[in-house]
Amino acid sequence: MNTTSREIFNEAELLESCVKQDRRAQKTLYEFYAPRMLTLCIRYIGDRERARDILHDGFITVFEKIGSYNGSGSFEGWMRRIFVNTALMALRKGDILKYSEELVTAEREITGEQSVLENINSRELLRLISSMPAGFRAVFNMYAIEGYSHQEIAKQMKISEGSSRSQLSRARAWLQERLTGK
Amino acid sequence: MLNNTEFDRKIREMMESYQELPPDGSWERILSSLDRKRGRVVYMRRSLYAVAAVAASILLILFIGNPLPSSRTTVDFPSGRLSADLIKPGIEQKIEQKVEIKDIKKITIVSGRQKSPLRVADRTVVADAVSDKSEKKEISVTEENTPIAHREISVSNHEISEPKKEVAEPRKNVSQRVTVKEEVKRESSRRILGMMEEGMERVRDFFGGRNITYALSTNYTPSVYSKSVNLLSVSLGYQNDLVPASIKEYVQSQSSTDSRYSMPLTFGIQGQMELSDKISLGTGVNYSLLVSNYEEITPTSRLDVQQSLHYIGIPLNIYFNIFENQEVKLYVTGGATLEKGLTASYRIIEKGVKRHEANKVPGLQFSMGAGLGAELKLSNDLGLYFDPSLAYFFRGKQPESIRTAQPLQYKFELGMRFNL
Repeated sequence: MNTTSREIFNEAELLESCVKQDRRAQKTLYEFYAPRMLTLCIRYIGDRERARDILHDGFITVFEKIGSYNGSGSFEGWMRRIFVNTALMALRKGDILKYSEELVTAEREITGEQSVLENINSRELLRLISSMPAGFRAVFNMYAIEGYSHQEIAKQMKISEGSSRSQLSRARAWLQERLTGK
Repeated sequence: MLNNTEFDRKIREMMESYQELPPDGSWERILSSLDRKRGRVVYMRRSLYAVAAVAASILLILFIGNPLPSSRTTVDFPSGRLSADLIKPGIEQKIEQKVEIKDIKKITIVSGRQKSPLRVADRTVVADAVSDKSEKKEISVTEENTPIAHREISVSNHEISEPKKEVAEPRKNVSQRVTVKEEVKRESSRRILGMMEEGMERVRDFFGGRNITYALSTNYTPSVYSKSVNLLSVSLGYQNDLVPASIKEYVQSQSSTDSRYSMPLTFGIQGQMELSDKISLGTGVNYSLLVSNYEEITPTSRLDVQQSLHYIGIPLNIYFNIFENQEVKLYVTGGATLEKGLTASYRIIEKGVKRHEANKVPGLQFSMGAGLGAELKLSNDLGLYFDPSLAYFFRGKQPESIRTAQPLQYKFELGMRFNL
């Protein structure tokens, strides 16, 4: 068996090899996770070119910090957090997250029909999410897709929990409007 | 109707099922950044190791070589600072001629007939080593005209200062200040120093009175094998037959892969004998450590193996001086080294279980090399040297290592040289 056709037997071995800076293991890891992580980056950043930069920076951080992954929780979850943090840092640099105006109105329930999501495919939904105003796009992504709590979002984005709730509500409303108007 | 939770769940599912392919060249960009970062780390590590090598050599000097007793410090006594009423013209004249001090922090010079006297004019003085707790080097000179009172002057920072006091008391009172225990210690020190001097004299005689230099060296061999250089886990390579026989019996492997070679390290001591003004010959003994890491893969398992080869060797080098002044010496060097592998030890990890094995290393390792060298002279008898060179390692029957993967290597030798 040639080295180039070497198989990585499981995730633990793959990660162990990545810790040793084995380039082929790193490439395997990249090939497996890059499409998912690029989608995440596009959702947060909006712009595809910038999202690719975030993908690059995120993977560099992953390979540098991979030794600190202690096996508690899924590796993908650990990795997602790195990419979310990298994306938020980039947004913060561009002052995009400054927009955190609280809504006076209370959180609203979505009243849309289920069919609004059945008429759209994943690619179009991604395009829609990535075109959301940046301020509440990040909150929506973190809460609705990544599963962060409002407390975690508030801490991460340095806003109040109330702001997090109100921005989520606005994001849902914004999205529903686009979906029904489609 | 969708409530918020269902709406979010539906969006989450749609997003998780969708993946955007990264553009071509993304991985290459990441790889390039990783290599650049690794390069910086290697540079930092290399600098750190170079500093450590110098520090280690200095420590070796202090704790093993103890060469300083043989190094001589010459102290000039400025006559103008001597007190005229204490130092008579004869004494002053002699002191001006330089006094040689051997690793002495404080010297008491007492007139009168003693052992190992220094003769000052028609008087006899004795240089006596006394350790002084203060860091300041102090030399006290006591002049005594037996049996009359002796007078004492002190020399601080290599200068003779005002006399401290004039004491009119017999010589035996001075002796009372020194305990018997201290006297015994001094006597032992004198004997040891005497024996060392005698031993060195014999060595010099044995070599026909030629100058002998000995060197403590630290040798690094950064590898350029297969693209990457790393001081700790170096050089990706592809090769087979790294596996020790004992492991091969244990598991029929299909391949050994991803060999990484750490930077070889060598420590040694060497004697160097002058054959002429320009040429000298050096030999000694050195120890080398070669570490390799690789994986042994079978259909059912994978072994992580770390191989450590320990060698002891005898180098024979010839040095030709091309330039020399009081501060620096430049030379070219060439020679050969014959090494015998002491042992090949293996640390094997399989499914998280670690075990150790060791094998004998057959045959001899022969290598030849040539290079340039520079020595910075720190004193007449002490120098810091740096010898970059190229060496070729002949394979022989040696186990796989960086030397078989990359027979031609460049080496950096750092060390200290002392004149006996």
